[in-house]
Amino acid sequence: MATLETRFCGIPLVNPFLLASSPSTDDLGMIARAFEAGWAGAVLKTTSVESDEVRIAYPIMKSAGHGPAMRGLFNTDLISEKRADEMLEIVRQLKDRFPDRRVIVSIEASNRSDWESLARRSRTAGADLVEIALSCPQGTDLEGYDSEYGTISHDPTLTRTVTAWVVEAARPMPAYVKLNSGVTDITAIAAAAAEGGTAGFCVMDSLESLRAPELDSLRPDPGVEGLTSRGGYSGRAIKPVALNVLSKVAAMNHGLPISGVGGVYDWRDAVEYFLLGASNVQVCTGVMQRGFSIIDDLLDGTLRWMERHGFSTLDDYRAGALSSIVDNESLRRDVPIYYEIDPDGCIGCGLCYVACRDGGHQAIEFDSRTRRTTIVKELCVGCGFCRGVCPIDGVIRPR
Amino acid sequence: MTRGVALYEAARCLGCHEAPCTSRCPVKIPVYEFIASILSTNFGRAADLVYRANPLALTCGISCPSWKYCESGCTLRKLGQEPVRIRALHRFAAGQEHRTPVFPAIANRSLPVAVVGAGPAGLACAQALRMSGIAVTIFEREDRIGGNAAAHFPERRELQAALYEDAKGLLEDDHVDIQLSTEVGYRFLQEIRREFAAVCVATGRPVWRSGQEPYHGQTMTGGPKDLLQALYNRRSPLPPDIVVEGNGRAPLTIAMAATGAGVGRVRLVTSGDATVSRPWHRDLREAMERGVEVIRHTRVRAYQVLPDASYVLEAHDAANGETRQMITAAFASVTAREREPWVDAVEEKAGNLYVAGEASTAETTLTAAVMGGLRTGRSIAANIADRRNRGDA
Ligand SMILES: Cc1cc2nc3c(=O)[nH]c(=O)nc-3n(C[C@H](O)[C@H](O)[C@H](O)COP(=O)(O)O)c2cc1C
Repeated sequence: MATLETRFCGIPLVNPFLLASSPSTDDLGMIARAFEAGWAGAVLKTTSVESDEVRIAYPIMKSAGHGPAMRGLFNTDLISEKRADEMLEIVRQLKDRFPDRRVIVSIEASNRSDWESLARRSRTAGADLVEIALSCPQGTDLEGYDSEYGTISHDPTLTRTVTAWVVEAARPMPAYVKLNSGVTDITAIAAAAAEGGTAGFCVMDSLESLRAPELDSLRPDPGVEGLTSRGGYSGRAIKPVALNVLSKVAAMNHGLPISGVGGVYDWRDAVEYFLLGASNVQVCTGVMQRGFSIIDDLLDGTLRWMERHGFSTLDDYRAGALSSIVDNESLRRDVPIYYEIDPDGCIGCGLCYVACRDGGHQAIEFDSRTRRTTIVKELCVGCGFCRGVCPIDGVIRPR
Repeated sequence: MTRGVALYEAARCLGCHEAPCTSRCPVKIPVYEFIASILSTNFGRAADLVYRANPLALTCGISCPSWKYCESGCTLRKLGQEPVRIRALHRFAAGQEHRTPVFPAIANRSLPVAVVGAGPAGLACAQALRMSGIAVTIFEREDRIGGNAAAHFPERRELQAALYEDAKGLLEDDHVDIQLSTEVGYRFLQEIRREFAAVCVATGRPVWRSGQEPYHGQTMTGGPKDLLQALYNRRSPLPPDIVVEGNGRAPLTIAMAATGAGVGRVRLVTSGDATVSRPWHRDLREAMERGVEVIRHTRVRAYQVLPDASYVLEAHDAANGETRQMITAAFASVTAREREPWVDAVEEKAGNLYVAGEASTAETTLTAAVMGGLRTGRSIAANIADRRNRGDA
């Protein structure tokens, strides 16, 4: 019988599914409902010291694609409007009611004493872990330090420094860094955090992004009185980016655990993260859209997949796919591959024909009378594009 | 439906909150959950979800008139679109590898429960009972399971196979005894009531085989409920004449139903003077106006007095009144049919006698029968547990 129990930074988790720092983790009642639904822990919405008053300029969100077809979510949200003392009260109450669930405090500050006091106060409140939010795409400055990079998360030196402060102040409670992907070399930042003593990593925050104005009114959306700001992009669309960053951090030789975030909606996304080196996953947009109950699918689907493959713990396959990543030059060029269309499954839409004609190798024939499509084996190079163009999964298959 | 088409269709589902599809499903299948599982290719979970809600998932996946239930509520229709093909997806889900139910051990000191009829209602009832740790004996008149469902549907071969597939867990279980080719008449029913903790009559509507008259004297085969339903349905051949025996509302109801349905001669035999109790007086007069012959002060078993009768209903069981209750319940269900066939599926408790499920003909539905069976099974189990807790089981 497979188990999903695991550990993160030495702390036991009832399963590898955590809520990411998000609007879902900014409220005691919501997190309590999530824990009742089965989530193993939550990273609270990022908080700072009381003197940094936060006020959000609404509206803050705009999706790409609607309803079930939502591909991504753009937001100009800030950290929590709650003061640190309110947030730490939430920690106390959650730990009281759910001793086996993990409460992770996400902190952000702009000077040394604030970073340290937030870490210390989180520990005293009974938190399990601290997530060092260096990652916000909007960026964070550090008072008294000039950085050519502009913000801490892009600056290896500042990353090392801040990490060391927080890790020291939080001790013995572990603290880890949440990484931002928008940097030139993620491994340099990760190495700096490791030098600073981080207990692990969270990969990754939303991607810095921007929405163009709405085309009729020519006003930005989201925007306030015709103005907008840069923001973060999250959800399904960012998963390949996050997996890429994850695999790079996981392939470094630091031996530290990684929490994977970005575009997790169902169990398959989670398993992909585990295969590429994550010890657990965090979910933000997936939960915001579909609710806490997606935990049922995450747990059930992952377990069944593990049983199907004969894995009994996460460690049996964690990072298992890393070894298959090589430089493109190392891939063989002489393995024959072409695709075939299942005539019984084909619905005759002709989409593959158009795609191969204008985006491929003119290897698909379309009979206008019968609406039959056929792949000409001699012309097909096996690029694989038509598979995804076909509306029906599995109708176009490699041979 | 192939895997690829199932994925395409599943992607059309919006996943509405408090989804109308689920609330319109007689067995309350968690539609979005199983469709989302299909979409995430967790087919095993999809199968488990539909089987958890409906032990005859494959059978209903073939036969459920889903356009009346779940699909009628699909939000996509508000866009003028075709509803998500829920039944087809349901059938796809039910056809996937699923975990056969692990029935709990039999609870101590509990007598088994008899289920009369191995149609969809009976099977669902047996399943619900077994899930509660109660052993079950099923009596079935025919030499196969499936009841009317298997006999009446055009796709019946497929349906028959699906029923056997769905019932596999029951058929293989050591604590489920299925006695085929065993007819339960009225007397046998009274006998087995003593041997079992409860008896669930899940016979559905009678299907008289052509050329066969209703049984003379064998009055309780199928039960008065069946006769009533036959009268109202006019599907089965009507007997040329009927004798109803008993005092009170139940026989009167039947007699009136029979004249209304066009039975040539209807005789009501009562042991008293047929004023019955006051409230029915007007009804009695009306019945007589409609041609019901009333024979008063007659106690002897009607078929001995009236050897010419072709169909005799004993509706008088004065000792416990259970027959009456069953008839009243049956009548209620027949009239309720106009509203929603499964809403008032008969589930009337009378001592340890229960009636389960609507009949599964093409007109009502398998799904409705399954739901009635499940509900009755659960209520029997609850009653047994209750009695056990009180220490008198
Ligand atoms: C509306 C919104 C608010 C967020 N707020 C925070 C935050 O306060 N702190 C933080 O570290 N990450 C925050 N995030 C980023 C998420 O924690 C997560 O890293 C990111 O959304 C990618 O994961 P996803 O694709 O599952 O949403 C926020 C994301 C969204 C969409």
